Amino acid sequence: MMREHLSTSSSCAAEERELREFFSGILTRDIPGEGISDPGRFLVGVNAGIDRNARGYRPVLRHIGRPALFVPLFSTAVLLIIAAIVLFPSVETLDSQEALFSGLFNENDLLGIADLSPTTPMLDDIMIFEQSANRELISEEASSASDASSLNTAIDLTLLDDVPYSAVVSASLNYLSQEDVLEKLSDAEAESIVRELEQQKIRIL
Amino acid sequence: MQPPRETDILDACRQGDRAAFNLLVRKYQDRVFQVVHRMVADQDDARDIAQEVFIKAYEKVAEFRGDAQVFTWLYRIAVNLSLNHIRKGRLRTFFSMSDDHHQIQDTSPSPSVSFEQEELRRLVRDGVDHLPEKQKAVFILRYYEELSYDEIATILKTSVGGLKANYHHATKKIEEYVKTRM
Repeated sequence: MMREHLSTSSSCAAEERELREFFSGILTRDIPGEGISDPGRFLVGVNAGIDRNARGYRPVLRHIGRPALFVPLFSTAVLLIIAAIVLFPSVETLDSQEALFSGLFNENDLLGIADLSPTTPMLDDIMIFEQSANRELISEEASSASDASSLNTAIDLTLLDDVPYSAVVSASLNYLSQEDVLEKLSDAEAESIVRELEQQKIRIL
Repeated sequence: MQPPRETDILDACRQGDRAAFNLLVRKYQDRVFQVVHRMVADQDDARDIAQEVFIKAYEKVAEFRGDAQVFTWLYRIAVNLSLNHIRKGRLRTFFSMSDDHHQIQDTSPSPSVSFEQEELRRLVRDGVDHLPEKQKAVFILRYYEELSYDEIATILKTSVGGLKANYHHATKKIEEYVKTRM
């Protein structure tokens, strides 16, 4: 089909010829070309990986399939994207940051953040952003709550009701390891985030 | 004694025969490594991903019905894992955590190859590395691996027409990339 087209279109044929000439002199197919440098070690590594997975040890992915963690992890990833846009003004976007913010971030994301890690010091710093009225409320709840986890969750929800999104993002970023979060992203999550960035016309290498 | 047929090896693999699977690894490890290496550039990453390709292949061998060739099936896994690696690398770079992952690996210049040729190769390699994911995969499989469009269509699960367009765009972009930097 292509040959037929080239025989009838002189411009395409000329372009095709030009490309052939260009690449014929440059691209040698032996780059990088070499094979496995140590086949024995490679094979051992493959078999060790098979054994490791057979035992159910998947360092990165073993938690991803659990819905309870999926939402917070994805929310965190979204947070990182938003934070990057806020923190790196050089990032090019055709839409305003606000539009991206509201487009990516919804109430469910915030609830996911609340569940993410209720005992981390992140909460303390979120409190810094909070106003005095909320501090009193938190204090009251702290005195009556018997369970630390439920207390923290209550604090989270209370704070998240009033604290601006941007403040939550700022506070969270101080305590989240970006590398850890990225490592925990599933392949599908990474793909969807990259796609989202590209759709938002954000330049990503 | 005749070497075992690939279908027999696959049957044995489905029964959990690790020795049979190791035969497949030995047979295809270099090709898989090379295609991954072209996708991800970094040699250590390429070796890790190539190992992961075979680990995944072993775990999924029961699902492989044999309607495609083994190397096509392995290439599909390799391309998918490589693309996943690239995406995470892009995100990592985006967050300014590491900018080492996508550095172009300079190959040591051979005494017989001029500096200009080496520089040109590096530019082309750089150009390939800057292609969008899909075009990069198509270009590598078509040009370097010399696969047919039908084989690539099977690997990437896409149409031949789309592949041809992708290949054309890829070559044009590489050409432009190189020419603007020469």
